[in-house]
Amino acid sequence: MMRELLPFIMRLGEWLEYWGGARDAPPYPARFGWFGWGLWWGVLLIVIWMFSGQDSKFIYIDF
Amino acid sequence: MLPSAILYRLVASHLRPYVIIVSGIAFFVYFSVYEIGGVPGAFCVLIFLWESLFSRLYRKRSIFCVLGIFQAVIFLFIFKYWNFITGLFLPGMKSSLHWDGAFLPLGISFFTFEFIHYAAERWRGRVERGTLAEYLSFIMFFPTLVAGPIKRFGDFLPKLRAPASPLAEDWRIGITRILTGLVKKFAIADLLTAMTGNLTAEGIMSVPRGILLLWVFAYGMKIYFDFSGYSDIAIGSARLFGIRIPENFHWPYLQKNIALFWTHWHISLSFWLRDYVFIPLGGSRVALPHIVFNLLVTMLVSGAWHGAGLNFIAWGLWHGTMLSGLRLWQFFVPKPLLPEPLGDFMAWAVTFGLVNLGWAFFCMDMPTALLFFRRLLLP
Repeated sequence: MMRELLPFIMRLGEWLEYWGGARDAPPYPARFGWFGWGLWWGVLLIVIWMFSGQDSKFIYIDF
Repeated sequence: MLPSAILYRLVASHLRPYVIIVSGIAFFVYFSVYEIGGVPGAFCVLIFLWESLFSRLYRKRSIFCVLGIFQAVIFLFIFKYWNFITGLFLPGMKSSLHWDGAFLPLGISFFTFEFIHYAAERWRGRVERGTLAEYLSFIMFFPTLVAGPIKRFGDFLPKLRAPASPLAEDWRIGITRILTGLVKKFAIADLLTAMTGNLTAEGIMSVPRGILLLWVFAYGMKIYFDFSGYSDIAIGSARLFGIRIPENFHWPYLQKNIALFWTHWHISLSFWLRDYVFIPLGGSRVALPHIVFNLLVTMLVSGAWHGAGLNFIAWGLWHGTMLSGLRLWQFFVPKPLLPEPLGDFMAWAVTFGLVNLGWAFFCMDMPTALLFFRRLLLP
């Protein structure tokens, strides 16, 4: 069970990094063109808009 | 930022540092006037100009490198620690020495560490001098000016001089990274404030101890998503210029010991502390008691860097003690006690639990943090 779960979690992490912009290429060759990225940015922008306006100070900006 | 990033892409390569310098000065002055320090804060832009001129004197084994490190520490001491130190060690003279209008120049904790890095590397002869404009663009690169990641001149310079990287790819990744950072900040970190805002003396006294644990663990998540979100925005913004800067976080809460945690949490600071505090003290190539001492001093510096308060000192010592404990454990218990994967899980759980408990010192002043632990641990 653990042997199957760990690679799955690691692959999921790699995909999250790719969709988060922390990884340049996807974990395996996949087509995710400009339309896909536009859609993804739209989702992110909606989430940002929904939650914006709360406590907006960053903790680490000169403390 | 967008006009600056576009202009950077359009101009000839020898003019790029000037785009960074002009936009960096504009950014520093604007945010100082409207957010931090006001007009006196804006005048602190002169610190960068002075530093860049002074840095021209740095040579291998030169006394000016030592003076450069010294003056960076002085900048930090005056602006960040003056009131704390004078209040702590000269309590009788507190009122006469207290600086009433004290303010922190934007990003001082970060840019002074870059000043020290450059002076130390020039002293060792391990980094190219660069031109005045190149060094000024390194210290004034505004995506990282406010809160890092703490860059290295030796990494930055080749990227500044390199031909422009593919625009479409850089902007796709940069914009994605910036939006991800904003989601982390607004949708996760700020949402957790509903819980972490209760970490006050009144809040601590009014709930069962299980809730206290929940609150401090929520703070652990909040600070991760807040700061890694900020780093995402900084790294993504730099990418719009075509400049890749170091990563600052890589799944820190999944690490199974405290040493691994610190190589995955605020990575640019951890490596700075390793290179300019831990190794100069002797690092790991000394006797075990000396290593323990080096770890404690390094994390004490880390704690003090994070804030001028006894709680930050305690937080640094908490981590220094954990790192020392790990060293002693690895020395006296070289073989794993538990079979895999149970051993790994236990190691992760202990690391995760202790790191999160340690945040109590980070997010509360000393009396409140002590009250928190009394309430949590004593019947």
